[in-house]
Amino acid sequence: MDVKKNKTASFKINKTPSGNIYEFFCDLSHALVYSSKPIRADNPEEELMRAWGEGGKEYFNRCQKCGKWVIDAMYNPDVWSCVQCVPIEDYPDYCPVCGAKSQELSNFCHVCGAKLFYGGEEENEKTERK
Amino acid sequence: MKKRNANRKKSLSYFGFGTDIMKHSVVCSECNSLEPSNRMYCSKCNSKLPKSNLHDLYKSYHISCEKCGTVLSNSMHYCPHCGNRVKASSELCAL
Ligand SMILES: [Zn+2]
Ligand SMILES: [Zn+2]
Ligand SMILES: [Zn+2]
Repeated sequence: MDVKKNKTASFKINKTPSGNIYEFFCDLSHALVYSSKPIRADNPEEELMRAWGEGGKEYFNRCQKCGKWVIDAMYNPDVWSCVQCVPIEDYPDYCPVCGAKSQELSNFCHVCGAKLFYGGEEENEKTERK
Repeated sequence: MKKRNANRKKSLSYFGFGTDIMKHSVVCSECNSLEPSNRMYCSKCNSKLPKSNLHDLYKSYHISCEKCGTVLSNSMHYCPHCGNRVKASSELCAL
């Protein structure tokens, strides 16, 4: 399914007399998102990139972590990732690190100092950069 | 926090993101059409639509709070919604 390092979402080609129709699917939900017009190009790569550029791409979001192309429903816009890589978080009522009841409108835990909203994400990034 | 989260949910949904949208979406297992979860049959191919929606798929990727069902990320030791202690993965394996 994964094609050429996720240059495009997963796709299927339907051959027709007037050209190839490309169908693009969400990499997580496998929903059919876009069908191209019949396209003909000199080589398969060019054909694919045309189908993708002429309409496919705009319906997708790319996960910055794993490179999957997903529909809005399977995308976490808070951290530009798919919802498989990073679940969507709400503003927490409790600190996810120490369990203390968090105070309204504070970004850090008043007990342990942990970042309350997507704190784990930052931790992951820090360790990745090291 | 409730009001703040309700507003946040609303704006996520407005732009087509978030858990409410997942709950309202199913994918036809025959033709892969994206369908509203209140439909019984696919609008494209008329097949019976699966019971599980995109939110079920989402939950299958992650652990959830045993007490309140909130989806949790790996780094969390406590559920941010209800404060329940999350079992470490080593404890889970032992069960
Ligand atoms: Zn991802
Ligand atoms: Zn269908
Ligand atoms: Zn909980």
